[in-house]
Amino acid sequence: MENKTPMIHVEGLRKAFGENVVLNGVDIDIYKGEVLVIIGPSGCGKSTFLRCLNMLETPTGGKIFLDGTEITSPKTNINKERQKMMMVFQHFNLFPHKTILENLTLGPIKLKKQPKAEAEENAMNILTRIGLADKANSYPSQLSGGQKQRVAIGRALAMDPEVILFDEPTSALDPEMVGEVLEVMKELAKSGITMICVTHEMGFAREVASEVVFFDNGIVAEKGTPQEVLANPKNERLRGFLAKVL
Amino acid sequence: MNKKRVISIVATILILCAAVGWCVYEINSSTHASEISLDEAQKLVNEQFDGIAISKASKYIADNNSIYVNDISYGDEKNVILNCKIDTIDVYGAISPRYDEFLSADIKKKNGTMFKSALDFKLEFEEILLESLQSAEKTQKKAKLMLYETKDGFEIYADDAALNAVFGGISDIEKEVSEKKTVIKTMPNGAVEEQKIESTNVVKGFIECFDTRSAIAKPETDKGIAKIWKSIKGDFEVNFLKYDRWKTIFKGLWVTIKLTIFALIIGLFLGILIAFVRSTYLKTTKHGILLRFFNKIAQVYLTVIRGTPAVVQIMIIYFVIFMPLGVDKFISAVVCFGINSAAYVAEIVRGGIMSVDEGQSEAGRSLGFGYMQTMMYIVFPQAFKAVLPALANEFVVLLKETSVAFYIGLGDLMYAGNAIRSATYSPFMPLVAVALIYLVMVMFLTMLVGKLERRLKTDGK
Repeated sequence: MENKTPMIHVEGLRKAFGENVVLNGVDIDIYKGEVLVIIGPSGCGKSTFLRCLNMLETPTGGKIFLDGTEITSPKTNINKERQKMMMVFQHFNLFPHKTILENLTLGPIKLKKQPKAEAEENAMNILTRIGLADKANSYPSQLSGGQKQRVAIGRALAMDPEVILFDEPTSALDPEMVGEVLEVMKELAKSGITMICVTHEMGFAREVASEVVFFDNGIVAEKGTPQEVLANPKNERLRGFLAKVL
Repeated sequence: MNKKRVISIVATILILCAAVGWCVYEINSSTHASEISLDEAQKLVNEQFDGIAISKASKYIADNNSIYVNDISYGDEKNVILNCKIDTIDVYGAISPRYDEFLSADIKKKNGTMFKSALDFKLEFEEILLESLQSAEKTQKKAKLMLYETKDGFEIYADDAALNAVFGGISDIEKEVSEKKTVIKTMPNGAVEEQKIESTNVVKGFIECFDTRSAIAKPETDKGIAKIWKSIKGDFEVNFLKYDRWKTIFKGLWVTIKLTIFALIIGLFLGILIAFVRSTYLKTTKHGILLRFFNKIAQVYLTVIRGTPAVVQIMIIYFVIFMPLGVDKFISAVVCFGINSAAYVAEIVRGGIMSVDEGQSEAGRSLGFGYMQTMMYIVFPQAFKAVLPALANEFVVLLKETSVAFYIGLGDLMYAGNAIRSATYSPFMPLVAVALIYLVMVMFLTMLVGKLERRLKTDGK
């Protein structure tokens, strides 16, 4: 985990929607294989930060480097860079007009030009891994919320990315479905993939995070290992936040 | 065993009246025609038949005051004071009118002083069928009739055939119809043109030549259903079988189908293109100059096309733009309906694209798809499915709307139906047949779309 160049390097990231400043200078480094968990009260800019990393929101200022490439530069082919950095959404955003298998193979076939058979074989392996092989030919509307989110993670994995961004992956789920999704995410974390995860699941953070970051008012208010941040918070706001969440 | 009339009388007379007004100011070198108005033509026709309300046919017409002149058109040939054509005449109330067609009247300048202030109408009836006078043995004759309105009343010169047809078989008479002060005189066959009028106080003149088909009434033996059946059968025969008229319908149908398909292709293609431009403009925040330009064009296009009636559009496109360029009617209609349909398709598709959840494009973009790829693989298939019923409805509307091509005289289904109607003067069969054909096509199309929809609906729900 001791890598010279960070997988993602963010410096002075700013984002404002009109007058409303959401991110006010964020600096973060994430190294390969790390699991970064971002916590914070709602409206603190953690989701916006994640969307900026993926350039779904165009930052107002600052720079983001992915594996040494500046993706905030207009010269960068952002579509190419995004293929290394998948996103898992709160509301899954599966493609309802395609089967589960097609959801997984669409990207690899169209973007990575994989042969269909290879993409399907790969997708089936992933589905087996997330325990949904039997749903390959179902449509998203036939799945439960937890299953959908697992498929969404599978869709990200199928693109064989360097980084996966999770934007509150369990927030839209019924409580009894949270577990199955977290299981998949834990399994992923152990496999060594780089993850950035916005979540309210403190248990998950404690267990798998290599670093926890607390966002407040558009800046990084505190960061450190889960033990430091969650067990011995220094920041007043963080203490208040944890008291409510835990 | 009573002699009931099949259908009272079918009198059908077509008249033509052309009317023209002509004023020549002989003193002035500048002569100009004053055209007869519809009202005047109407009045003339009514007067003629009032005056000679003798035959069954003409009496019927007179009683019902039921001959209407609908349209008169004027030509401008040299040396002809007026060249007028009556395009349509309706005979209202006539039962089972059957006449084939009818015609045109030329009014020629008469140089003789006697005719100075007279109007001559030469009317030709191609076919006057007096249903009530049917018999086993039909006769067909060309009849001539010359009619002058004088200050005292009317003078009518008629040959035998005309007397027979119009005056119910009275011949060799010189009769005065006192109330109307109409004088009826016989004249030798074929002598109409040369016939000189004796009266010097002529106000207007009127000559008609027509073919008559007349016969003696045949005892009516059919009753009830048989009678109705016979009349339906007769109607059917005259509208569809006679002269192979059904072929006209099918020719028209083929034109309508071709027109709809081509217009649909243009409409879909152009419509989707416009929808892309519009939705891209509305969904994104940064607009390049090209996008702004195309968006503006699309907006103007949509406003104009959706804000004007299709009839006006097709008349402008054909008569103003394409006809002078020598482009044929079919192409004009295809272009017009393609353009027209595209505007509606564009708005439908745009609505569909905008209705797809923003998360879908985000998911697509985050996978690494570009804007166009996201549209193509993710947004558009969903949008298309969502708007399919609305699109189908638009195509149904298009199929029906192509009947507007009638206005530029394109021989489509509607045109064919109307052509038969105006030839047979029996509107029911041809128009209902046309309606049925449209209905069947629409139902068939709706069924196909329903199937397609069910197939697309495989995502459970």
